Amino acid sequence: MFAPALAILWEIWRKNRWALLAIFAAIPFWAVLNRALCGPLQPRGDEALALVWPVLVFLIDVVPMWLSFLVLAVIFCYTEPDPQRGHARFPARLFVLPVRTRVLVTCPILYGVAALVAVALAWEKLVLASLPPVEWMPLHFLPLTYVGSAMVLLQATVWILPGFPASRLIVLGTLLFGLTWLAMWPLAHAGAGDWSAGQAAAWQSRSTAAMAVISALAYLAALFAVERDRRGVERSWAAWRRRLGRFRDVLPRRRQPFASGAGAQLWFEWRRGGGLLPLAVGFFMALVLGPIAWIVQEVNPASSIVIDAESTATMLGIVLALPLVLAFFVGKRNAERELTQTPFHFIRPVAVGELVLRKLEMAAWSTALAWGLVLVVTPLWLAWWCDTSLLHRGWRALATWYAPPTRHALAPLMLIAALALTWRWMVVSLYLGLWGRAKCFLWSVAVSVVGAWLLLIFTASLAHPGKLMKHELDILPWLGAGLAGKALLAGWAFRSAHRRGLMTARAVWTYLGIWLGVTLCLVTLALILFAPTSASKAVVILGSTLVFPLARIGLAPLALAAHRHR
Amino acid sequence: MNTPSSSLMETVIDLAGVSRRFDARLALDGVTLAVPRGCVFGLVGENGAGKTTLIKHVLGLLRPESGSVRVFGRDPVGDPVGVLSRVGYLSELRDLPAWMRVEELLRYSRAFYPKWDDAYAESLRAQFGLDPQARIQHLSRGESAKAGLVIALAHRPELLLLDEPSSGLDPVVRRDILEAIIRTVAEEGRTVFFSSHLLDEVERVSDQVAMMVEGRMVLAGPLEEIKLTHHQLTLRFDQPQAHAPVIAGALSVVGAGQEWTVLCNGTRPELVEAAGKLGARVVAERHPSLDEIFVARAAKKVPAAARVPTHS
Repeated sequence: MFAPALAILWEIWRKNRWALLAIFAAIPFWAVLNRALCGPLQPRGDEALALVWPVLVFLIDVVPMWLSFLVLAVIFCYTEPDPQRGHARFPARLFVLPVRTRVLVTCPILYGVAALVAVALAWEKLVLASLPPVEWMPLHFLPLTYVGSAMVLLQATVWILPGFPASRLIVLGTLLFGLTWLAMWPLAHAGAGDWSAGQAAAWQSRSTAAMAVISALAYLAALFAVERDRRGVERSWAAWRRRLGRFRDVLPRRRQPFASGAGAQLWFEWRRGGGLLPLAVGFFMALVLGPIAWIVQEVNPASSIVIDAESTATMLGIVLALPLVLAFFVGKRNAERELTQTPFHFIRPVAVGELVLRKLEMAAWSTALAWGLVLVVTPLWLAWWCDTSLLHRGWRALATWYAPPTRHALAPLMLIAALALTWRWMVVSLYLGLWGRAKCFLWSVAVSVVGAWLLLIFTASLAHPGKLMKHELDILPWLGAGLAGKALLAGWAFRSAHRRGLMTARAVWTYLGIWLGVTLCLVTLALILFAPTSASKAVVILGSTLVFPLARIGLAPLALAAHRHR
Repeated sequence: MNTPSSSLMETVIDLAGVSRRFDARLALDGVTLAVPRGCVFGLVGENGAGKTTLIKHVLGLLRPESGSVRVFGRDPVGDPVGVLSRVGYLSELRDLPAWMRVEELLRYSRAFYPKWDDAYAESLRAQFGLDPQARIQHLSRGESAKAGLVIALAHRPELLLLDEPSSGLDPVVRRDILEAIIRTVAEEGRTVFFSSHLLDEVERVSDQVAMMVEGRMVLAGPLEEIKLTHHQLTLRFDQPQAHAPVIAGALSVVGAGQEWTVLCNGTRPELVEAAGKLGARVVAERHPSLDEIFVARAAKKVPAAARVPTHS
């Protein structure tokens, strides 16, 4: 028993040792950092800092904690890709070992739960506990039963539904949402003072017991599924899947030959991942506008089916941010998929520039569809279920701030900015994926996550009006240097791509025209929105100019050519 | 090394001194090769000998560190569209997109080749028994190879590159269909270049053969010429020999006592004369099979202590 258990532990360690070491090292580092920073940063009579303090604590301590949980979840999912079936599943190579299935299943579950609980406990005791109290902090002292149950649910879902990558995400999202609600509901009520101490303790006990039962059921389900997988028993939903496949066969789909290689390539790119962003936006939108809006709303005694005004505004903000946030992840996923190009992708007689163009076009269609979904569904939701009085007040306030020509330009400019920024996130990492170097890609992901995190901290620290002005002027040279670097790199990239025959002159000028048009819109919008409160228009203009990708689009054909002809 | 026999025929593939290194390992070591139009060219070698690396250079998927690659007189890295539009390729990896249906794969591939022959594609699909509605991920390895073969053939390429085409195919398909296709392609004046472990298959189908060992081309030329220049002689000595006899051109020597079997490269009179000088008589002789030549040549790099005699 112990030898296989140790072997599985060693395998997980050997494969992920650098990530695990980074997490183990990060916690003491954060503990020391907090102790060093707590004194100077703690708000002492400074109202502006008192306001921003919770946000800073969240960004500095809570975000890294959740990131470490995410990394652990990925490590202990314990799956391997099945190249023939094209999805990740419980490692089938283990099925030929003379080891009982319950050992194969129990070990990764135990290790995962132990690692996550240990890391959660370490964050709580060493890092969060050393901070001055923040109102919502108790919510991040996560119940250990919740942490362990979340890991078991994650592993069970991933192993039970190997052939359903999209359904897996939806099921997992729903289960984790339910589990989080179960764990946090008593905590939130206890924190808000709704219950007496006795009531709170009783509810917490019930919640803990429910989570323990859920974990046990998830474990048994995982064991059952892996055992059947090992015996080669066709899962009952495999038959359903076949039926679904037959149903899909009778649905109208393209059966005509493609008019051109470009059309065929666009179809290929779309089928590889074009629908992911609209699907993800649709799913999360349904979750936000449905159950989440229902849970967070203040009950309106006049009409129990109307979402109250504040919740409406909050949910609307979340829904409008969804395509942007999800495009970041979908873009990374699409770029990551480009790392593993096989000869099949490269032996079509298609020029590199054409291949890149079709990927960019697919991202544009994906973006348009995702926003189309938001723009069609949200007004219907607002009209039928929501109290829109707060939104109307906001619109009237906007009308007093801006004169008619500016006010009329705002909506189209915002739509262009939303589309442009979503598309940006979809394609901004493409060149790294197309380059085909996994390590560089992983580093770039790490750098962009850390960069985004530092940027958020920096933005939050600009709370005080005096400090804001000072910081804004401080970053002006950096923005100027960034723009100069971008222009130089873009010039080199487009020139090289054109000289090597990877991009036609027409394609280069077309993209430069698009970049210029979109950037003008972004600058105009930024000047309308931020110039009145900003210390320097130059900062607004330069900052907006850096947003839409230029050099990275020029690098994409060069990267793909390097990958195609290694 | 035998250099390819000079030919006045047009060469479809021309490699000159191509070298390629992956980290510390030299995958191709100054490979020179010319493949004339209209022939069936078989490339043999052990695992890791560099066969797939060579084919990837021909496709332009790898860039040579030194030397040059020309396909139809063009650089496959500099002009991938010009080269790939005339090439049909079956990958060893069976890397067709798992989510596609067979019918979608054919429709998708068709869009890139103006010379795509719908009737031919359909007849091949039917011949291979592929369900057009089946998804690639549900095909067996052999069926996946058949699907790959259909899209490699259906645009009637001037050059058909097959990397381990037999891998996963059952013997009937391999012998009756694959070999027939290869012969048909060659009879139409097109060129087939394929790598294989199955030396009997290479011997049956190929006009020309090249043999790679550890990234080097150790043998290349017309199959008949190769077979005619290799001899397996059984030598009898008057006295038992304590050590294996040393004969110029010998690739392998096995035996004991008075009787030794030598597989060597050279003309028959030279070999008989060399045997006579050692005091031996040729008591039996024959032309070795390609398999025997390959084993003898591949074994030459194995240290003597580790060598296992193949003949007693």
